[in-house]
Amino acid sequence: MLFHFMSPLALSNSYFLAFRPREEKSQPRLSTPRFSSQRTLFLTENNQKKLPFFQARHHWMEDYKYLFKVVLVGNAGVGKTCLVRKFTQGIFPPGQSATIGVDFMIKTVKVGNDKIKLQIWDTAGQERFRSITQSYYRSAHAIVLVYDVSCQPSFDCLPEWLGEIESYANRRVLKILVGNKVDKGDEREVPERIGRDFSDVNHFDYFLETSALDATNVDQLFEQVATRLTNDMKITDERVHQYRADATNSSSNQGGPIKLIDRAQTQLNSCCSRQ
Amino acid sequence: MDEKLPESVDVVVLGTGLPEAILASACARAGLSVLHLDRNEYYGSDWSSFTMTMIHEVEENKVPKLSEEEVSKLSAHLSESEKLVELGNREIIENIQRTWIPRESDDVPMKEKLEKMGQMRRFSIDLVPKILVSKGNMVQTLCDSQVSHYAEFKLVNRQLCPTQDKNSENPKILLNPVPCSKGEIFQSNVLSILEKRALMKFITFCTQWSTKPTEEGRELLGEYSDRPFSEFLAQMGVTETLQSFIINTIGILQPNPTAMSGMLASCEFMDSVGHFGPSPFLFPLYGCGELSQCFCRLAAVFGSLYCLGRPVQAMVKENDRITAIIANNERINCRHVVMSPRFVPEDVPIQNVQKIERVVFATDKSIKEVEKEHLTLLNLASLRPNSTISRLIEIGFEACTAPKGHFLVHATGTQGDEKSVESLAEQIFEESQVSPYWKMSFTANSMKFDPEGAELGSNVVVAPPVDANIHYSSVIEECRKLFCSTWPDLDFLPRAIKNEEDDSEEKEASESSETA
Repeated sequence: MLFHFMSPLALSNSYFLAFRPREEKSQPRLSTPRFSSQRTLFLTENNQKKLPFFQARHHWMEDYKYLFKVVLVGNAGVGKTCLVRKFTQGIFPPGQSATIGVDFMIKTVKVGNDKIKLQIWDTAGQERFRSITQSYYRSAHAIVLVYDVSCQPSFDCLPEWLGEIESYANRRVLKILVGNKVDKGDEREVPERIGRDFSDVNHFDYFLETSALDATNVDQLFEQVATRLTNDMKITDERVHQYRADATNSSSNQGGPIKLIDRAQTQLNSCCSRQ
Repeated sequence: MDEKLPESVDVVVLGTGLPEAILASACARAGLSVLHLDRNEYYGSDWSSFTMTMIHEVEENKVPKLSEEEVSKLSAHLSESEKLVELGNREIIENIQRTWIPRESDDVPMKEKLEKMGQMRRFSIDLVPKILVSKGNMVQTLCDSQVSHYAEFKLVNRQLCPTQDKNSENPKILLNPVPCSKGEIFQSNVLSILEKRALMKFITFCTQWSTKPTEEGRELLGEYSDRPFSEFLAQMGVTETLQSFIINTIGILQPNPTAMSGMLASCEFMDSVGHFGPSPFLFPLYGCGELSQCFCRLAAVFGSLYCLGRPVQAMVKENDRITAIIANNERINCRHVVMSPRFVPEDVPIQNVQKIERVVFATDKSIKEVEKEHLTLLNLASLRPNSTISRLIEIGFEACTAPKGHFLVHATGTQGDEKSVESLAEQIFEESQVSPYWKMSFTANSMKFDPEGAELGSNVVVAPPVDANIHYSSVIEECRKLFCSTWPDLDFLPRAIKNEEDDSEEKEASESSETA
């Protein structure tokens, strides 16, 4: 019976989708947080490949609208890796070993009708002695600062982390504060109100309490990140369009802000622009 | 927060300069356990980049010698047959001078202005600025090891070649943009039609020549192969201006070239053109100091432990081997020690030192202003014919190394009896009406030690020193050699295999690319 009730809803939904006017496919790209007239280059491992460049396929050539870099920071042991793995792979890794061999993980989410890729970076254990490379923060679109609600010291370290973020990250980066391990009900040392206050006072864009163990708010956290970044980026995009239009009206043929993602695309573009 | 360091590891790496970082990442990648320490609070050691607010730290590198009391305290960590070895504190960077230059045109001093606008942190001042050759071994290593994931690059999109009018008494230095690709040659307005034709002819010759085996290539150059490159070009009917363009720009990878080495350098240059764009050279965003951090990140991903701000107090030596180091009064046993030349103990004799003259200027106008901002490379070799290395690199906002509208001009030169690169840079500034508002000068010492030297310890690897070369080829090559001779059965930064962490979508993408 339940199915019977649900199906018309589902149908109407797809009906709506099917009749939605098709949006123009926009070029997938890693969006740049800042303007520049020359594109930046990412080198790819496919550098010396035998295939001609137009045949090579890369994940950024797939059909998605944006790729965002999200980095996690916070003290060792607050559950950063668990949050990422719970979200990207749906598993809660057993054991308490420090993170080894995890570079970044990718997951695609939907924001409205747009496919958004989140590239989520972990600290690679460099937080253990507070030795995170500055380059880790560079070009991040969002920074998720995590503490453990059952561990007061991990909360007390937040100002230090904020200091690092302010020194190295882009000024316009999306900052999110997360109190993890809410499943540890009795052992809680940091009340939610205290976390929320800290987030307000320090101008975080969003605050959330999560549990990677029982999945509380994990999906919601990353969906919020994706939604907020997408909305911001759409506004920027409009401005860029305007800027590009202005630029083409004037003499410059530099093609606006470009992120040199990959050799394939770069060559494609440089061939075009070189005539 | 402060965990304890491990009691024993395979490799301890001292210093986070680029060569140490490369070696650390190679070790970690090969499965060795690595502890990477730096006594500074920042990454990069003598290869670092600094913001304007942090640049003073470059001078704060002095470490006092161990007192007798400390020595006896540390000796508690030793067994009977072991002895304590104090680390060296070599002057890799010396004679540092930094000044804000007052300018009449500023109503508010530039320093105040930048501080007020919060722009000081937007600078990224490199100690060792270099460029990457698109098809060179550094780019190859970055791609293979996937360290390339951690960095972004920009094309060095303007090569200038200085020429001087020989007939005038006080010759001005003219800065000519040199075209590198066929499209640019076609559009160039510094070359005459005849020169364009000659340059195209030279490029075609290069393309054909590069396909020949070495010996046949040498034969093709005939009697000129070991004579100066310029003689060979003159014989090809290349005018003097164009000769200078070819030797100093297209052949920039080889200083003082013979016809043979010049041709090889030109071919390497031409080969890299078009690989990522019309220019063969790349520059890392946020400065060259990023590169060592990127290698450190790779090492960390493969389990290397990082600890900055942790000076090593002493090493422990038994017979001819270093068996442990002592940091923070903890003893850490190790099988190998990799160290930057800075830490080589004082009693180890230096084999040779090359002195590198370095000057950095901050300006708010390009040395050759055009509508669009460029990353500029300028070889000054023709103005200092007797010195090996003389060049300027101008980079600014485009490379994220300076605030908008500002530039850093890096002058690098090997020391000789000629005009210094500093005075040449100042002449260029004066003639193009650029007045720098900040200047830092220092000498970098490229120190080499006898690798067979008994004093060092047989399990100590001294990383390559800072050098004046324009690119990273020698750094990568020396690191590879050191790694392969120390760990002959391990691979040096082998190509990354796609691991299981990658999501399924990526796998699909790679599969379909194989079938394509």
